[in-house]
Amino acid sequence: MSHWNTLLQTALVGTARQPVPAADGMAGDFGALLQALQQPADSAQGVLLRVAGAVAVGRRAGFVAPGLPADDAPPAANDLSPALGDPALLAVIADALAAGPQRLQHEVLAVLAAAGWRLPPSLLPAALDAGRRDTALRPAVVLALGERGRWLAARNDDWRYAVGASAQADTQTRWDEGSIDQRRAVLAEQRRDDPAGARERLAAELPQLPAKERAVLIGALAENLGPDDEALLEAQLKDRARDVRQTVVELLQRLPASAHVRRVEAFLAPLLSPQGATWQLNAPEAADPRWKDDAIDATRPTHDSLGERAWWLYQLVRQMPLAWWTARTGLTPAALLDWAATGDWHDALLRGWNEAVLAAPDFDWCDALLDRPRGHRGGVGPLLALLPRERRERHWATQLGDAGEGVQDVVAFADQACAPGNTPSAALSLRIAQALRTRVERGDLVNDYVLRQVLGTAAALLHLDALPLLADLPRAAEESPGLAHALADTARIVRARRLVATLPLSSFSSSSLSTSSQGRP
Amino acid sequence: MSLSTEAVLALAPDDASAKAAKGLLAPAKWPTLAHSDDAVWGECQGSGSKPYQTQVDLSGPVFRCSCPSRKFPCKHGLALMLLRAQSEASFTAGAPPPWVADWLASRRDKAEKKEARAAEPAAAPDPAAAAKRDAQRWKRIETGVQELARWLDDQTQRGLAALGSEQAEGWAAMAARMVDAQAPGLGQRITQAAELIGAGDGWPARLLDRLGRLQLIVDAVPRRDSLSPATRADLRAALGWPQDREALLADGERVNDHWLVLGQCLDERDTKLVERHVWLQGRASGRRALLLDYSHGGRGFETGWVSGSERAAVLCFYPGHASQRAVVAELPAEAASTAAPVALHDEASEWQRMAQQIAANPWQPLLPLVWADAVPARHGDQWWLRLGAASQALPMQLAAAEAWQLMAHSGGAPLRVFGEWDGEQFAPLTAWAAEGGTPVWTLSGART
Repeated sequence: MSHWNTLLQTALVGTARQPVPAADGMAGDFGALLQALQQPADSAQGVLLRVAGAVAVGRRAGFVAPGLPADDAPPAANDLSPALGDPALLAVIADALAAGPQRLQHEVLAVLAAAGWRLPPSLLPAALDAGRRDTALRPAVVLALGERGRWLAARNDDWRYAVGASAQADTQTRWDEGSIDQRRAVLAEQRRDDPAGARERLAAELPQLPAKERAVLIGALAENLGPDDEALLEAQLKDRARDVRQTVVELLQRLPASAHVRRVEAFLAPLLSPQGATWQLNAPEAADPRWKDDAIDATRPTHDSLGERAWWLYQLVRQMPLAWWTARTGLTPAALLDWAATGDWHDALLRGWNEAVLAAPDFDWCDALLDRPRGHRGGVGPLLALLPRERRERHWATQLGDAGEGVQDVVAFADQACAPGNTPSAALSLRIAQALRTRVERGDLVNDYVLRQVLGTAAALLHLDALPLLADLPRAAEESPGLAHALADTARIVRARRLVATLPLSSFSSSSLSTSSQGRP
Repeated sequence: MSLSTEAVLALAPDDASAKAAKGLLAPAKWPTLAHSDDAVWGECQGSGSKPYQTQVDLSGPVFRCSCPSRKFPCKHGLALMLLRAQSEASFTAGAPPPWVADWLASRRDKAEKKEARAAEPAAAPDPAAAAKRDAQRWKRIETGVQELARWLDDQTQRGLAALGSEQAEGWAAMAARMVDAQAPGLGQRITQAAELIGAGDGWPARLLDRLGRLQLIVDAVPRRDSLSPATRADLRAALGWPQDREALLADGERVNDHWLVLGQCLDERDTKLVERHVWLQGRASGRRALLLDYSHGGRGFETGWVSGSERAAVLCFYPGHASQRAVVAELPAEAASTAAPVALHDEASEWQRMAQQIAANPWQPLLPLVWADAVPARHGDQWWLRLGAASQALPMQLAAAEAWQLMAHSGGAPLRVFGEWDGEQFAPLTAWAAEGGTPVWTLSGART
């Protein structure tokens, strides 16, 4: 309707400057109507809008929807697993996704997927959003999405992380089309039975990959790492990206016979010399240009707390397998820590050893470092995470104390050390829960703000067997809003976990157990 | 009657209430949870020592709670119904305690008295006084409309391209002037038109469309005596002249039918005022109806409607051509049922129906549309609703969070979608899966 466009032009410029266009050439009744409107008996007032109004109504009545390019993307594939339909469980999951905490979100999603269910459509956006905000949650989100969820994720850039090949697809398809997590899983899987094959798969792909993906995929070599991998790793030591070099160095560290380790040893050994009954350590006097080949930075970052020489020493220590220290000095890790505490280079040594143990776990070193947690509390959680459960819980049991006075710290460390989906043992959980309950019954919550937070953390963390102790905590008639909120939050989390634990296996799960590797806590 | 979680949340007066209700779902907070055939009640532990007594008359549902909240229904009432929807087993069956029984009895009592009053002959209206009042109002409107006509002419003489944010005050003043002139409908149209200035690509065309249609109302006022009674009724509605409820119930066209609730929405007009649209379709008559009501200060609405359910009612339609606005004249307290899927119309007949509605009354701001095979899609920065197999699509107006929900339910497959059409944008309110049954998606929360 071009008449509309000429009207619009006049309207933009103003009738003071441009006359209302004539409706000449408009045929039929409508044309006659427009012409009649433009021949007012008295004045020209309102003519433009009157005509525009008539045309607007006509346009509205004869509206033709615009054409959209055909959508060639196929609709979502049918899901094999059924969508959960139980309203009470769905409400709990929706609430967990909206209000957290992260550990609860992880648990509801993992349990759902392990039992062979998937999220119903109404919860997909909330789950995808939760994964967008929290990268640690993503694997659990992806498992619970189903085909419909993957289809939806592909349509929103914020949810790209969940896009990948269908989980029902074969290995090659998941490698070719999968998300970075899927590709890493393919590599890790192949490393178990065919390490060389997986290495060749990776080597062929490396040149085309962006830095972030190079680091992630090279990390998959940790599975079944062996001397045969040295050549590939050595070649990546010169990678442009610091993340990649760091990953490579950590892997090479686990190969004590590698050329890299021998080179670092050659730098480090002259600095450590016997001094009577004890040992004397010196830091490098000057940067060595050869360090560059082993990803050691000669330039100290401007705001690092270490001095320049300590910075050099720390990097050498960080890259040296810990076994070298005990073999060379004949001292135990505990004795080495005592020795380090008396020397000039304590900070550099402690920081280097801490990182070395994280790169290549050594339980005796973990224990020794944990027995002297002073000055680096932030590092306790990751160290604990390395230990097998019994060795780890020995530290907590000591810390908890007979009267449970250390319960805040234990819960905080356990929260850091237990990966999502893991819990402390039932026995320790019961002790922690009992300690918390005793403190609540004693009225400590009234003034202890840390304890309030710890309560919610514990509710999400502890073994299911301990939850009855945290259900029905005593309530007071008069509670401050903060206190009431803490108790309500705890009750909410406890209730959600107990309810989710009753989730029945789906029909899909009993016929196919392929997805149930993600265990319940 | 058992409401679904979504249906209960649809009754919330605002988002904050819905959120607060979800926080009250732990059964530990409810020492008492019980139900009879007619009612559900419970005691909710609040911050004080005495629990709140919350009760719901299922015939409405109508809510009552001893808490001090002015919201209606309050978070306790909503939480009670959510618990009912999610874990019916938590409720014990039994006879209502006095605090519930007394209230139910008083409600029945009131309903009977109301019926008795309705049966009484209404006080004879004084036609002469009414005519005088009408004449006075027309006079004020006419004066206001003359001013509006001059003002509109000024705008077009200067040209729409000259408009900018600095004119906002003048437009707001003219809108207020129309309210003073007892034509609030015109004031609202001016306010809505002012919002278009400078907003998005092609705003002058949308503004010209609005102003043009406003001019048609302006033109009709001086000619009102030559209009048919039905057209004059449409004009009064467009001017925002409220309909006297008693007179409407006495003279309006009554339609007795089973009404399917096509969909509903809440629009927050400002912090205090919520406007509710409930769209119905008669099973036998095929007639579509709009129940439009308002809630002030979070007091909520007297009757809750559940999208996708069906209930018998007598509606009384406003006068006018192709009138769709109606009020409920009789609402038997029988249970709502989950309805058969909404009756299907093919695309062509839906467009035809829309064109006829516009031809009959060009001033209706919103038209209800039902699409059988609609696929929500995102294209560029805009949401679309693809219609059937054709490549045609309607631009869709929907908050992103809701739109993703709708997408999740579709999965790229067709849905049956109901929504409001304003001539430019389609605002979906309800969606059913192709197989029908209860809706898979309903718009939740208030639109602002």
